[in-house]
Amino acid sequence: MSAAAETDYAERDEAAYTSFTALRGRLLGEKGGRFQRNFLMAAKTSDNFVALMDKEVATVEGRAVVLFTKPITEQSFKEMTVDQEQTVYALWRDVPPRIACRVSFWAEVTLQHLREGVMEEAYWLAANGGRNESGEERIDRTLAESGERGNKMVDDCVRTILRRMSGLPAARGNRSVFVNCSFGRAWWRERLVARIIDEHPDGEERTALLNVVRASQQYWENLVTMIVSRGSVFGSSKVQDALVNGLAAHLRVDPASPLRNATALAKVLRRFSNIAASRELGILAFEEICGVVDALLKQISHSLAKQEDR
Amino acid sequence: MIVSTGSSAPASGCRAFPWPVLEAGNGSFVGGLYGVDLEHKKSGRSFMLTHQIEGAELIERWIRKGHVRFACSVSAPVSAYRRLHVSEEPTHIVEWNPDDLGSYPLFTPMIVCGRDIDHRINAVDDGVNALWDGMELHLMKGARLAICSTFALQSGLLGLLDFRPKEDLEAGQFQIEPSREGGFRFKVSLASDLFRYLRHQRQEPSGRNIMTHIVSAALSRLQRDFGDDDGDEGWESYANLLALANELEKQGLPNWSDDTFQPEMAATRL
Repeated sequence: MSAAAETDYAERDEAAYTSFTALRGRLLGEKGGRFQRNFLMAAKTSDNFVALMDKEVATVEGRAVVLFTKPITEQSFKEMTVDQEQTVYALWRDVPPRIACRVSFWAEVTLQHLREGVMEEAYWLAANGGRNESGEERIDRTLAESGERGNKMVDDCVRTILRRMSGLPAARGNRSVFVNCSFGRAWWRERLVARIIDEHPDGEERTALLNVVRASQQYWENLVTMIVSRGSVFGSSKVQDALVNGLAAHLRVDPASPLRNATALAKVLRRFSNIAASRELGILAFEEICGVVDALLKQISHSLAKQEDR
Repeated sequence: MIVSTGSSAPASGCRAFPWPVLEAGNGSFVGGLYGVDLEHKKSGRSFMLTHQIEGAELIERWIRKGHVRFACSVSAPVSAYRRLHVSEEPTHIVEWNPDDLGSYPLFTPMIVCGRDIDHRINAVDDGVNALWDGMELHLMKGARLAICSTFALQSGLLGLLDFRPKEDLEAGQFQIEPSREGGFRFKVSLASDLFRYLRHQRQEPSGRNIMTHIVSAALSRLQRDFGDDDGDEGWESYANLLALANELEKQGLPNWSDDTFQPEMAATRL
């Protein structure tokens, strides 16, 4: 172990040669190779997986996070309930964003939960989003395959584990920590909701906001891409908040609005970006930005509804 | 430090916005110049920003009338941080909390409309390209009038380092050689793995440690080879080295021509 600043949390080492980055590089560098297959074999049991991670990647010493207290199942780890996501943020809200955006931090958090048995099995990390099979079944099915098809399945499965454990920015960009890592996604999603509610309180708003940020994985990913994209023209989080707030209000009034689907949201974001590219909305008062958002949402919703009618 | 934006691009670039904007690549304001001056306050947490504009009569007039706002967005996309600092005065404080940032902050200064403005353009009086003459404008509050290039803060020393991969170096090795070609630079040759690592992980804790090591080595070379100024060809003939010496002085540190200079101390402070 190496030492970190006093205020930092424990995380996996990112030093050049014994790092989590180096491990990810080795794993992704050989599609279906022996190292990937061994990694999957290890993921079948928590002890072996934690031992492999401890052997391959050092830990930077620091404060430990308080462990998650609510029961987690394989299914709920894959897609946490609202209650669980709230608990994640409530437990770890003191973690500064500069740390909560790091894969090395979330990897350590996940491994800590495996080590202490709060998460019962490492193979939960391999469970795929849209399927009913468990992570263990997926690993067995994957390792039984060979040839080009088998190699691709192995590679896909390894990537799922890395994404779920910590995020995988090398393949998925900055958004990966926010959308793929189970604990990271819960933390960032609940943080956004908590920020909007704290700054712009409205009694019934929470449920409506949750309907937006949890509409679907793709919906959340579209929102996050807007927020973390380097080329984003949103100069202020006030503008993001107004947009998410506006979507929530719109869907609360019209739950069947076409804006409930991710493709429509992508269109909203494109149009909103066009406006923001020529006009810095951040200098407007929150209510004024909400007016701009509301007009845009009504316009697009109306246009999409007409298309659906045809 | 001045980050300036001229408008010497051909006139074809002036219609990207439906109104004249002073920005790089936009020829609307012929000879217009928008720059900002930075004065560091709390190192790594804030600076005083002064917006300066020349040769853009229309915007300058609106500034005099108080129709505009001076703004600077601070962002760190990796940690979803975006904040806009807005002022009625051209000089204002821009600050941030390092705990909110997962990378160096990016800054985009701009001048925007502080209210809705209707205006009919007179190209000569307004100092804009003749293509705009007679155009009726309806600008909404927040419309961007002048946009500076986005920049990141980094010490002058980092700007002196020219990183390049060198295949015959073994894993983890690097070399530093001063170069006077086209101004003073340090050529930093890196083993392929180290080059790849620093390209993507420079902001990570270990990347910063390696950078500090490289900076320390570069400063040692300055101390060894450039401690004595020998007139026209000495270190004082290079503006970037003079700027670095000034930066050290501001930090209360001696420069490499002083016997008390400690490269490791300067590297860790910068």
